[in-house]
Amino acid sequence: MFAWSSWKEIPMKDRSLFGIILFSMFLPGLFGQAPHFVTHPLPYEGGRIDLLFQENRGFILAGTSRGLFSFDGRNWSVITQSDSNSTKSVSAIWQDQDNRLWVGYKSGNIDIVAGGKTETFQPEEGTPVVPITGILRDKNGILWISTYGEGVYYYQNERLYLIDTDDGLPDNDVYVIMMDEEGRVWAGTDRGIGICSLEDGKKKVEVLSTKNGLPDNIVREISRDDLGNMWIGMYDGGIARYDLSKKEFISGGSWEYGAVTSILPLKDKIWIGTENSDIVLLEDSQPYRKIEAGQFQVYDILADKEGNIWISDHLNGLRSALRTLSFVPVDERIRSVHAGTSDRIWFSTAKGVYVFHRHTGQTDTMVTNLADVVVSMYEDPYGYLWMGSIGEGVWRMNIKDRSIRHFTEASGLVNNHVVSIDGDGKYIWFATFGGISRCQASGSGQIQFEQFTRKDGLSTEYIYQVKAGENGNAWFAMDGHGISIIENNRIRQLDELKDVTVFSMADDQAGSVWYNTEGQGIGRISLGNGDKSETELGISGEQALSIASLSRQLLLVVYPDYLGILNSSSGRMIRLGEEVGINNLGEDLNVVDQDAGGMVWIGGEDALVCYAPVRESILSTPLTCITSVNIYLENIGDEDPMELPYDRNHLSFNYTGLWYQAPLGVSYQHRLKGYDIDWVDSRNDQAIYPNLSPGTYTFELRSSANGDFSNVPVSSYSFRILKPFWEQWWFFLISILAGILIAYFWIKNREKRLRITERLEKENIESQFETLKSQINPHFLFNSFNTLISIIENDQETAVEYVERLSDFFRNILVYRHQTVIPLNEELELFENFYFLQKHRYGDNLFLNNNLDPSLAGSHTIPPLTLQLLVENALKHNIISKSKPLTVDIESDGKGYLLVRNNLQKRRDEVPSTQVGLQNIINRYRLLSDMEVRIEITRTHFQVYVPLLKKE
Amino acid sequence: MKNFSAIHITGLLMCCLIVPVWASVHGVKGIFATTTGKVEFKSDAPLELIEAASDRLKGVIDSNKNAFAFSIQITSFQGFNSALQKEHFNEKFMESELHPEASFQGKIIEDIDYNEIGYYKVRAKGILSIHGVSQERIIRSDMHIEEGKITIDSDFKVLLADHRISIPKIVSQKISEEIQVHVRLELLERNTNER
Repeated sequence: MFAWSSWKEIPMKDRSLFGIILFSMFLPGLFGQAPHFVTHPLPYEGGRIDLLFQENRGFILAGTSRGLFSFDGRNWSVITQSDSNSTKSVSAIWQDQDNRLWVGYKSGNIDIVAGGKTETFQPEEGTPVVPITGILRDKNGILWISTYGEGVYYYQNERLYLIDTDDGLPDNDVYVIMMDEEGRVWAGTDRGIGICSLEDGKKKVEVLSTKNGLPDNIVREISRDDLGNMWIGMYDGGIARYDLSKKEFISGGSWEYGAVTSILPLKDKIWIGTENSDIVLLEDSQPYRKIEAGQFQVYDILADKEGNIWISDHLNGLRSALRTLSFVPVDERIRSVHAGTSDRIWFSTAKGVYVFHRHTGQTDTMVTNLADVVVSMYEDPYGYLWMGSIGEGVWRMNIKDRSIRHFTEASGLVNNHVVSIDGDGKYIWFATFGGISRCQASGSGQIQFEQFTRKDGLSTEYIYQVKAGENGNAWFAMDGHGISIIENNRIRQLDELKDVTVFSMADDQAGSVWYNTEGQGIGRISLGNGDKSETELGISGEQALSIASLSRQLLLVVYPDYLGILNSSSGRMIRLGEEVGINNLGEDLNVVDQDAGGMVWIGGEDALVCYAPVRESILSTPLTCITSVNIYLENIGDEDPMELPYDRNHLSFNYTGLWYQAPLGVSYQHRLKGYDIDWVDSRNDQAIYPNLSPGTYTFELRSSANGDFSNVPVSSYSFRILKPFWEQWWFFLISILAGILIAYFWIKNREKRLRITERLEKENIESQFETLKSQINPHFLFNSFNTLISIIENDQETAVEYVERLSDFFRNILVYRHQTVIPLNEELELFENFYFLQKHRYGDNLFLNNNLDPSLAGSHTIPPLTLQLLVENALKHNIISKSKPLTVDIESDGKGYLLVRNNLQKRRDEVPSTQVGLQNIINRYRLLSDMEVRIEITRTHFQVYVPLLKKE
Repeated sequence: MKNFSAIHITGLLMCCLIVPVWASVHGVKGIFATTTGKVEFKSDAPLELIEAASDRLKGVIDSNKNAFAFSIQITSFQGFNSALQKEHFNEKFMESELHPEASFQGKIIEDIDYNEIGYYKVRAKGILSIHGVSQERIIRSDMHIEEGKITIDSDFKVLLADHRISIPKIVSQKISEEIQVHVRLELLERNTNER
């Protein structure tokens, strides 16, 4: 942290003086050093963003009066939105460890958003009815919710408890809550800060107010920095820091910028948003500094993971800028830059030499009437600025009184083309196109130049750059001969680079020196092993103008159109180009210098560019995230890992690589492991895989801001497409089992059928036998012949018919006996013959009533000779005489049975029945139908029901 | 933290409206009131300076609750540069038939000992309602407490946009987006015998 105490050391009077100087420069156009802001569209026209938040995947979220929106650098999408039922004016955003977003609204409602689904937080006690101003969870897992009007709630074991003025909270209008390092919750109100905690389950509120040194009781904002300090933003009192160890407030000094709306305490500077003076910066031990001459309200400030600062304000809507870069506009091409002492940055143009004061943001003209353009500068410890030219030697200016002395070859300088000057406090070194000069730095007027040329062992006198070392030595970048070192007046050349043109060198302060070559890229020499040096050449191909070391790993490389931040361990380079405000850095070599604070100052065509490394770790590659997985273009949500049926095999992936500083430059590579052989290059934000065959797949995605995908983190999504059911093992098993079963039952059935057929055949044979037996029965023949004889005598024609019928009768028996069933009408015809014969025998003693419906007879079948057998039975067992005629009825009972009935008049000489005929009928029907043959014997009638069989 | 369009202090509002009535009926001590407070406003636009004033600001401060309520009839403003201007002010900008009153009601943030004579710098937080649009505001005031009397002096700004007062483009150079308001009022303690 910077030296805050230095505040106290500046007397009040001086501070106000500072203010005046500061104010004088806040005229439009004269603004000193400002980031390059890019304005973004708003989620909806005419809207404003009240809250900014970066969620864990990297998306920038915006809380507005219409709902919560998410920004990917190009487009906004809705997360929660007002509808006719609810007004979703967002007043608090927070994300828990499970990546669930908690969104608080002015209505008092809270939504929980997870996996694309929104739930409403509904504690049993009900939700507040005043605006939610903050949500957080403490170390014990207790959820804290602050409100504007009801105080602070905490939610523990699914119960909601309230802490308000009755519990000692200074006021129920809570603007903000923030957790301190001890897990206590600080609530900012109009009457000071209430520090809420639970001790043994009991509410405890400690109050910090003006009595404790708080500059103002109206606390609008509380932030916590990396070190655990609490930063307080007030309505009238500016900002203050609470030192937890000393337990006291340290005021940020006099404040003239009105109410504070937001504080972003970063390591290098504190960003302060105000209600009507836009952004104020607090940097190191410097006074407050405004970045623009505005008078507008700042709603919120956010620092994202890639080093951008985001500002939502009343005038500009939403803006972002890379924190590392800032620009001092200059109306001419800068030819040389030197970072001097007291935060003075010297720079020269074709018109003269100028100084930029970092403290005040002011630029002063130093000298404009020199005979030539200054191309090299160095400020020595005695208050002189040395200025080198090409052709006119060097000038030395007394910075205080601006008096100038001129030194040329005539004064003993080795050459008048002085391209680089450097010093170590004792010596000042001059690199020229004619060798090297050195003089003692001193406050006196006497200047004596020493010379180092070819004669002294220099391999070339064409020197591009000098860097003074710590022990009186100096390094020289030389044309065609690499690097030479002068130690103890002895010249030593680095052998490894003796054929290389070196333009510039940069010490990383960790035992290595970087160097920039002509056409052979950038290299590094490790100085670890005494004289022995290692080199790595050609890290980057493009011709760089100059280099500066940012850290052991990071190197800043200046190219004509962009700055490169090269990570030597990963080999990755971030390009900072047009998108972040870098347009034209000219063509001159080495117009770069680094100040004591590590900031690099680069002279460009129209600006002095400052690169300030941030102390937080920032991303060097886009945040890659698969935003949705779709099947047949339908989002499937958050199921992971996933198994899909064989026919849901049209997959597409939507993804994004978040790189807010240059969103249009992001390119992607993706592959589907199990399908693609190699990575597929893409600039789309969707990959589609139709018709995937069953198998296991992993979709892998990586994104890059500069087309370099080496060592880039990969996002992935694994899934499996199952085999169709007919290729599953269980299906095989079931099929085989089913096959076996079917075969088994078929065989079984066949056996049964065979058995039935066998029995039917047997019954048939029996029936035939029975029939034949009865027909060939001599009794029947005898009776028939007797009948015939009596007919022949009376009526010969009838006799002929009788014989024909008799012969038909026998033929029919022969024809039908082999058949199982015959149509009922055929059976009736057959029966007709039999009846004709019997009728002639019994005459009027026998009656037959056929009441069968002819259509029924046509559509049903019957085992052959059944009717004949039944009637024969009746004839056999009953008296048939004139006084007792026998009547046989054939009819349908309407319930599927054929009914054969006769009046019962048993013969006395009853021949004992063998029941063979009837039993045969019953047996045959058992094989043919489910319905049984029924026999009913009443007092008057004997009736047999045989099932009517449907014609097949 | 962030700006809230204030709708929520209904309770506070109720208390502010009811307290004076209740107090006047029951004659509780510590109620300070006036009906002749002075309000001046100034619109300093590039092409025209407009000033108007009224001395009919009604105000009540309840010292027991540290609460206040002020209101003024829009039509009571006099001054302006012409009669036509006044007409425009009432009819076009303020729509004083629809929204006849402007008011400011709320609580004083600072704790004040009303028995202690002296000068105080206070901030009043409340709902400022102009043109029918309410905004929560914190307004700084100088407060002078004397025996039985409170004097309030306050300067603040009102943004036309905050209260949806729209100005035709044609006259935008003549009317400032930001109106400066000065308020001065002397509130006298109500006599308990007064009914």
